[in-house]
Amino acid sequence: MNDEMSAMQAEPTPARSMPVPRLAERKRLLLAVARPRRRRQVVFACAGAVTAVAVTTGALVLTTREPRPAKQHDMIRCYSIGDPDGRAYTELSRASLPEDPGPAQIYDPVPSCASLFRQGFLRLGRSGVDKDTDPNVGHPVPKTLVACVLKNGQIAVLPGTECRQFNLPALSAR
Amino acid sequence: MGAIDIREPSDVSLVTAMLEDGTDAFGTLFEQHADAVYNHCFRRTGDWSLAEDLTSVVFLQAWRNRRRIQLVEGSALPWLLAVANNMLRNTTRSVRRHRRLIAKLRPEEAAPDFADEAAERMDDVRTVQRLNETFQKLAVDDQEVISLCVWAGLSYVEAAAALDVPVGTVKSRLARARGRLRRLMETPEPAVLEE
Repeated sequence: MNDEMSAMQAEPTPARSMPVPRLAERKRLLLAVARPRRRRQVVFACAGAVTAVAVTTGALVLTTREPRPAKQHDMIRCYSIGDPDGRAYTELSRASLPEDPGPAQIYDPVPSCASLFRQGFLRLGRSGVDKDTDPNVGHPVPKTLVACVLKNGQIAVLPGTECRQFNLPALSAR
Repeated sequence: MGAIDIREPSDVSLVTAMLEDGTDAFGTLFEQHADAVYNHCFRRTGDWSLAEDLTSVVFLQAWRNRRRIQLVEGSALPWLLAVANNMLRNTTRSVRRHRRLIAKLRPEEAAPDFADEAAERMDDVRTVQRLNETFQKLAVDDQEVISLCVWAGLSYVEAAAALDVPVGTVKSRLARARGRLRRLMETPEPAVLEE
């Protein structure tokens, strides 16, 4: 009885996590249901009595995405893993001075995120913000960081050489 | 570089991104709150597999109703737990109503492999089942306020939003629920008459 009463005063069972593979699979299935289905456009080409469907085997048409401006510059994402769909990122904003109206703008996203690596807040290949930092020590910075634009218009700085590898447009010059 | 502020993505930014386009943000919201919803559902049902299914449905409801998600003190969790509570009021009916969705959202592998946690999870099941013998004698309002404020650790303000009642009502309901529970536990089981 006492056990039961104490369970009513606090968590009755320890909080447990969904097993990681299970969580990932559940997430995948949820996103599959949530993502809007793309309608396939089928084009029939009729020429005289001949209907030709031309398929160039092995040819992959790459759509080069044009650089795009960001929707805002006051909060950017710095990724420690080159996966824009993952959660290995932290959001970065800058404190504005009291006399400045509105949030501070970040127009140098790559150096800003590089600084987080240098100070040890971010570690390449590891998710989360590292609490054990030492600004006096030069921590490793990824050799190449690239500034891209997410679908929501936010700037994402990822370890990588070009945004195309993430299927994202590059951030256009100011 | 000046003063900087770094943080995990907030629910505010995630829900905003969900409105704009974002299934990516939805995935992150799921990762951030799935365990809280999962544990809430388990403690009310005593069934880990059912808790998983209900968690998936709660999040799908969140996606489908993303324009209606209410953030309480910057958190989406109270709203998510409110959706969970709606389903938990009649779990059997909820499962029946959402059976097709549940089938779509359930991984093919039938049962989760808890590996070295299996024994502890079995203990959890026994604990909750024993607890529920008493807990379910409470009115649903009382069950909900205890599960939100005590078990899930929501603040009074968050619980008020989840239950859609004033904060004062949460406080009085919680006090009343605890009193009722105490009395239920003090009531001796009816004696079995022997012939």
